[in-house]
Amino acid sequence: MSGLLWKDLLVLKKGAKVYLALMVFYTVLGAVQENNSMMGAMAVIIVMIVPLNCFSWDNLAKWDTYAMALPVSRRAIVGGRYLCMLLISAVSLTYVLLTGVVQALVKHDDWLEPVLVGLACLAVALVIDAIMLPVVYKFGPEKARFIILPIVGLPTGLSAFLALQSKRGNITLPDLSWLEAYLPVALPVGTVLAVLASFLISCRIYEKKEA
Amino acid sequence: MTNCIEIKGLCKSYPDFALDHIDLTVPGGSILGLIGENGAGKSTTIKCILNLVRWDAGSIRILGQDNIERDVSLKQDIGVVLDECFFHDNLRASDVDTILRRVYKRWDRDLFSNYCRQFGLPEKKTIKEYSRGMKMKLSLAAALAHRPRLLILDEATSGLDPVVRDEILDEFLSFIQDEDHGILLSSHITSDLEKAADYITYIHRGRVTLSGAKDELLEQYGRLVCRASDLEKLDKSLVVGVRKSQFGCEALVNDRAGLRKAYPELTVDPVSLEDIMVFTVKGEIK
Repeated sequence: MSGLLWKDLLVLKKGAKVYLALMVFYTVLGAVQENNSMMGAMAVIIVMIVPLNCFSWDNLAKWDTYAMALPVSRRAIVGGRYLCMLLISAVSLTYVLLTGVVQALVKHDDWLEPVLVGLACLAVALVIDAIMLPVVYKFGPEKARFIILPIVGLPTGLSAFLALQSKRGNITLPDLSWLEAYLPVALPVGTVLAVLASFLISCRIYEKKEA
Repeated sequence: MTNCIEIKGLCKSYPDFALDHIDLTVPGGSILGLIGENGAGKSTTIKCILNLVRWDAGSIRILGQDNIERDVSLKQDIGVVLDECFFHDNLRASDVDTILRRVYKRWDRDLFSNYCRQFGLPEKKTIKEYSRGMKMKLSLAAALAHRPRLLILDEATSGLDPVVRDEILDEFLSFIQDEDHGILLSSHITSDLEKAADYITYIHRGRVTLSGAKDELLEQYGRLVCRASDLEKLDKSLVVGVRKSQFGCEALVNDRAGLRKAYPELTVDPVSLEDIMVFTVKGEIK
């Protein structure tokens, strides 16, 4: 599995400069606009697009055919991809937390807020990946983009729409403040369960795949 | 001496094609050449051996073991070169070493470097900048560097110049000096197989049409050039395929010595594997 993880990291070198530039750009933008959640949002995007790009590049090289001929189980091939996703998440989270905390300390703001925002964004990113990866394994990266868009976009769009309407006073949203008490446990546990379930589903799909 | 590959009754169906009861054996210490026209089923057979596809019926044993039950462990002993280079464009040869030494337990970094040097693969260039031949050479280096017992090669010498092909065939010949080693070599370059292969299996439309020791097959089959009237007189069981032109007829016969004895006035020439393939595919249906 480590060989496959190395393969993903070596291939990712191709786009590393772009990702780094994006991260730096949004860090500066966030600092200028005094918006701590900017980096968190960026981390979500990075954690979403990097695994998808890995699939695209593998598709281009027809790597799967060769990988299946290697002395590596199908489960390990899938495991390598999930490991890469978690590694990218860890790197993104570290960057987001560092920049967020430093910014907060410089401005004498509450440093806990960017930490919580960063962790929440990471959880969201991992849940999106947990939904996305089995879809990609089933349909391939190109078709998956069209499938994932409504799955992720619709709830996001609907939430944003409802929040806006509530802000304008057009609707009254139910009081969900009672959820706050459960979030510190529910969010990480839910994320871990989602990623685990996603891994098992992906393994099942990949076991049946033919080169 | 264990057979390196034993396939019995292999069947695999697709909507518009099927492998139909393929039997194939690669004895230890030998090279089996797999020939067939495009779409005959050679690559499908190789994919079944490597578990890249699921087959419908039959059995496949690799190095004496079931290839499904011992899939991962067996692949430590198999070197694979398929018809394309599957390494990503932005990687270099050193990156391939970084990846595969963590995959194969017996990966030999020095051996890989030696092959890269021997094949003239540039260290600094990315695979995107390689020619087709260089990509094949890289795939070969990767297949050989973990000291496999079995090589499975699908069009591994295509795209290579004659000098390098000759070197690589010599490499294959020294590989099989060990009786525990074997090579399955699928190739359209039948001259390479005539030089290196010990056995030939010809797959035509998903079935094994011909199989046996290469020297025996080439001794057994012959090409008859004659008039149409001479062809009419022949025992039909001797004729495999016929090609007629305005100048006369050419026929592939399956018993050269027998035909010479029975028809001493007719000239029967030796054939090449290419002749056998062309006559089988393009000869008139009997």
